[in-house]
Amino acid sequence: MTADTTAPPLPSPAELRAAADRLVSALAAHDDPEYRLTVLKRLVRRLGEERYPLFLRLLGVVAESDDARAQRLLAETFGTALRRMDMPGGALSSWGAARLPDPSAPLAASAFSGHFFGAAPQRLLGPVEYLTVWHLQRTQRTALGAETFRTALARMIALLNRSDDARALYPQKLAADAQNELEGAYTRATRDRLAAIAAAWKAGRPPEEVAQAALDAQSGDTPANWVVRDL
Amino acid sequence: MSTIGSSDPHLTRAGLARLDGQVSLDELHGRDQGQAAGLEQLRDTGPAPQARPATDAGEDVLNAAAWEGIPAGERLLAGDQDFEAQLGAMELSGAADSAADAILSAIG
Repeated sequence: MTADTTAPPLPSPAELRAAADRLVSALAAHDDPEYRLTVLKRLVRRLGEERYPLFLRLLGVVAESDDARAQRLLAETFGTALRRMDMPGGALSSWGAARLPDPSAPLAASAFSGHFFGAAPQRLLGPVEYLTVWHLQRTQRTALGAETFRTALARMIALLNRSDDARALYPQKLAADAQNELEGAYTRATRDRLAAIAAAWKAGRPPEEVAQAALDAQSGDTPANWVVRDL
Repeated sequence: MSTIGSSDPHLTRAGLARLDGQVSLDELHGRDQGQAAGLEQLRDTGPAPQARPATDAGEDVLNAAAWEGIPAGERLLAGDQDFEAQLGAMELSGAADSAADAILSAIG
């Protein structure tokens, strides 16, 4: 018996618009910010780790629309999430964290291979961090291409700019993340890109330029003749 | 070939500690020989390893078209008034659950 590795079919344009439409209607149904955040978090939970990109795509569908009210509803909900430090996040395996094995259980062979000390733990990442880590770090997903990263990140920032809170708080969060070397969620390259995003976003540059700044950022202290691989 | 990860109760860390040096790793290795031979036979009969896809399925989703053919300026999310009113009449937690279900059902 083999596992079914067939990817689910891509949603059609009509399906994506219908889902985005329902998402916006659901947020509009109640004024309570906690309710709105709960809608996003439950949607992410129901989608599951593997389908988090579909959540990002739904945000992108709203971002690509001409519907300013819909964009404000979503962005303000992210503003709430940022104030609560409770983002509707997706899981990617992190490069540096380790989890000790359970001494009462048999040792798994993977403990002595690429996942030293057990299966790689995963961290929940907000949309911007998720896209950045997916593009730059070795995770359970095939790396996100630069062009898709640029497009998706620019859309996300354009959407979040519809909320004063999100526009102010998200770059602050990214700048703080970029300075945190200890936790092990991000490689140096990722922290440099997050810092570049934060700086360009804080400076009020257009979303496309913020995304480009992330691609242009280079790790500053790597000697030119070194071969570096992101772990 | 290793038996690490097998269900043999001796091969937990606690089980190995109880053996206290009474069994060598060579002996443990020897237990594998029959299984190893079987796996050798399987080596040539299994399916060819699948190549890793060039792009992640999630990247394809991110690039899925949503507004093609709809001119800029007309890309509006009209909303579903009945659905909104239905959720508006529910208590918050139930409404959030129903909302997630309805959104997912729109994308199959």
